[in-house]
Amino acid sequence: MPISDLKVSVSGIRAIVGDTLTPQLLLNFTRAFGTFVNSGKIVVGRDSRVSGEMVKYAVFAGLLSTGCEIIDIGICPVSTVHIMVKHLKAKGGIAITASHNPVDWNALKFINSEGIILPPDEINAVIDIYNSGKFKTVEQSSLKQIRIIDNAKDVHINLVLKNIDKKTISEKKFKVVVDCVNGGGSIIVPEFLKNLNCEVIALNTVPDGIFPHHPEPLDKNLSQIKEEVLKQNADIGFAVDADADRLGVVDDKGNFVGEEMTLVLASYFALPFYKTSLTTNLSSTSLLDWVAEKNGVKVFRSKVGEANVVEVMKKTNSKLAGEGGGKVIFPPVTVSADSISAMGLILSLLAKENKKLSEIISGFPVYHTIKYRLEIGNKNPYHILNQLKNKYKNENINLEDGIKIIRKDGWIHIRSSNTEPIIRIIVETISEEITRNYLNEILNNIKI
Amino acid sequence: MFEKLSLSGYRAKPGFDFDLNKVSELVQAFATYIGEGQKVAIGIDKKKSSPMIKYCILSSLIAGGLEVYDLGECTTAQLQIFVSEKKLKAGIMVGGFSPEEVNGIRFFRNDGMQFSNAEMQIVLNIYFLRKFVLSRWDKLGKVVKTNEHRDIYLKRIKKVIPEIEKLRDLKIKIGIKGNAQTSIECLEELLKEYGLKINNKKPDILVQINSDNAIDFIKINNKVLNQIKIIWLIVRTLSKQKKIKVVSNTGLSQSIREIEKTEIIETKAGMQFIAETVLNEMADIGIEGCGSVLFPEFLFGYDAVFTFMFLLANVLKDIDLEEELKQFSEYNQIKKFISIKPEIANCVLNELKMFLNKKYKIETMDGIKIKNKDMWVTVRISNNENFIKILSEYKNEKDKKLIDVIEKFINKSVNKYAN
Repeated sequence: MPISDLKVSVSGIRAIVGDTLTPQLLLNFTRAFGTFVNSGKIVVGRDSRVSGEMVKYAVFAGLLSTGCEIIDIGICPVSTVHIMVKHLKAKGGIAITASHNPVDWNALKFINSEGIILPPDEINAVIDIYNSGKFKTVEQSSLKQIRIIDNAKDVHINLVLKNIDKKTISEKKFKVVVDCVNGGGSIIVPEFLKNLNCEVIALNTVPDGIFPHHPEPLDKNLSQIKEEVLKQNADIGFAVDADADRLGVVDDKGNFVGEEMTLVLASYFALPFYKTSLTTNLSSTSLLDWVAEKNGVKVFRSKVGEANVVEVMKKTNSKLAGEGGGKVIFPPVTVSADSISAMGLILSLLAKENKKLSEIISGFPVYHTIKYRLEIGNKNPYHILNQLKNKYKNENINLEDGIKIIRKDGWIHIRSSNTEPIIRIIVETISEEITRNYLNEILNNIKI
Repeated sequence: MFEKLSLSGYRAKPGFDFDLNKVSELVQAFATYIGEGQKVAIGIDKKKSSPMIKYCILSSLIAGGLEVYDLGECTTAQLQIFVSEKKLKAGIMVGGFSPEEVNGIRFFRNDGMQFSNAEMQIVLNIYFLRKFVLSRWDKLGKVVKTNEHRDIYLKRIKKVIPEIEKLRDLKIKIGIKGNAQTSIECLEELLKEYGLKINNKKPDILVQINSDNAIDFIKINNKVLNQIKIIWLIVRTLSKQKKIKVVSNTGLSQSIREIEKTEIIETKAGMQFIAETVLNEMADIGIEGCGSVLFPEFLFGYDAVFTFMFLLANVLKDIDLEEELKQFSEYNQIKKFISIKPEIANCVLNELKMFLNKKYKIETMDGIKIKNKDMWVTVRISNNENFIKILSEYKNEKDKKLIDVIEKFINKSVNKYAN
């Protein structure tokens, strides 16, 4: 089996069911995590993937064997697991989800007692324990049990409602179409919006893990919701991925606004409202710099990956963070990407501006972005990146995460994916032509 | 050292040498052998570690594409009967081992019998070669929770023991003790259904069931029936009606061999050997000295609940026990278990065989057996634990000397290998 199909990174472990994602791998990684946290209460939740049950049982066995008590919150968004870890004062959490990856993938995300995805040093410690094979075991008399709780959704919804202006949004009686891709957000998303007095047209809300389309909320995957927004004459459309951490937005004209725009829209409301700086990654759109500049606040950039963003966010004390691809982190609710919070912030923006979404966006500068996936198979991505570093060493470059080449009219970011065996090339410039030219230039300079 | 992976399955001590990863892989091998799309069942005993082991197993079974009926807490017999009645492909039982701190798993086939050596060898081959088949995401198995097994089990008991209806007329109090909690609860439920009172303080009949799902003893009117006497009573009762075929391991008590109208067929120790021989020989009953009784009409396995209900309905309520037991020949018995590392067990046994061969006529069906008119001794490697077992019956103290000689030889041989 190709080792490239098994990804171990700051995002956790991620692999293909029936191939690299074996029960033994899951069992032993969980034992490593249980050893790392040294027993205690652990919250476990999962998205709706068909393989979730198989993964869940391996996780249960691994955690119990290390003396952990398990709080099973069932199928839910990944952010609900983060929230419940803090709410229940647990020692940690495990979210079983491959997020936006295709249906044949699954993964484990590890969360610490602060409700934060394990920072790089902590996940590395777990990986070291896994590699050593030295797991904690407890005697039969010290084994704990599994407790099932069913109010996690309510805790999550109430927490978001507490941190947004429910009254102002409710007065607008927004008509909202949602596409939950039959994932972990299938129950909570419509219920949250109904709490905000929205008229909800819900698509794909049976959490059976049979995704009606690729779960990543990208333009090419959202034809159903775009049509429905137009048909229903809705104010907005929200599409979430399998674990409802990413949010894609469709405007009132049935256009997908772009996966980079979710954080931009949330920032457009939150930066002035909360008077806060913003933390995002090196690959996110320059529109964020425009929003920050407009509000006189700073943008801090980190390496790509939620754990990296959160680490910088904690240092800079930003009250808003996130990544392109539809991830919004709203710390008053949770220090994890949360589509529920993002919906709350974007509806707050609509309510405050009292304009259609398409009108609001029409006032934004236009950048042209291409996100390119370069399949590299078993090739070493770092070898490829080193070639580029040499090639562009005389330009204005940032080497914090792969290589980011910054030019007057835009930028190019080339990096190895944390979650898939590919190299990601992101180009953003002021014109479509320049963007295309820059991409071709990079592709011509990569020798596989 | 409690861990043992063998043709009987896997057992070890959680928190000490129990290896969940090994169980996960062993079950992956089992799932590979059974095949994607098949249906199996799983049951657990009440041990605190059993749920953890079950979750580990479920993950491997789902990954192998099997649909799993999860019976929750049940007896081994309930699992076996459920598998055969529902025409499933196989079953896995977690628990049912003693001592309390040890746990493990065993595999059962579609007719409810424990996996034969040949079947288990295939599973072990897959395990050792790591030739696991994992299902694609859309072919994964699933878990179906059920408690249908309880009704199926009770129905079969009632069908096989029609005399059970007569228990309604009995005005006796039954006491139940032991650490086989699931069996005890099941027995209580059954007795209550027939109007019998459960009273553990002042019972007319007290039964103790152990975690191997065998009866330790029954106490009636201050008379204690030990395991041998219980088996003796059952075999004697059956043989009063017709000549019967009895399958036993080589350590069968002489007192049972002396019962008239019985044909004894010997086989190796262990439920799978007893069951297979009963099936092949079309025998009436299978027995082992540890109180285990196999009634083929009911189940190709052991079940203390059925055994007790059979005794109660057919024997204890009718006979004058004191008079009956006058026919029982008493022998002195010895059971000695010597700890041994599995890797040297066969060497030690072979050395003993060569040593004894010089003086005695040896039978080697299962380990070593020497017998003469008034005594017999067997020495064999335990199937489930890391022991060499010496079992013997004798009438005269002079016959005990041979047992002492054997024990000394084994200890010396064990020490030699240890050094």
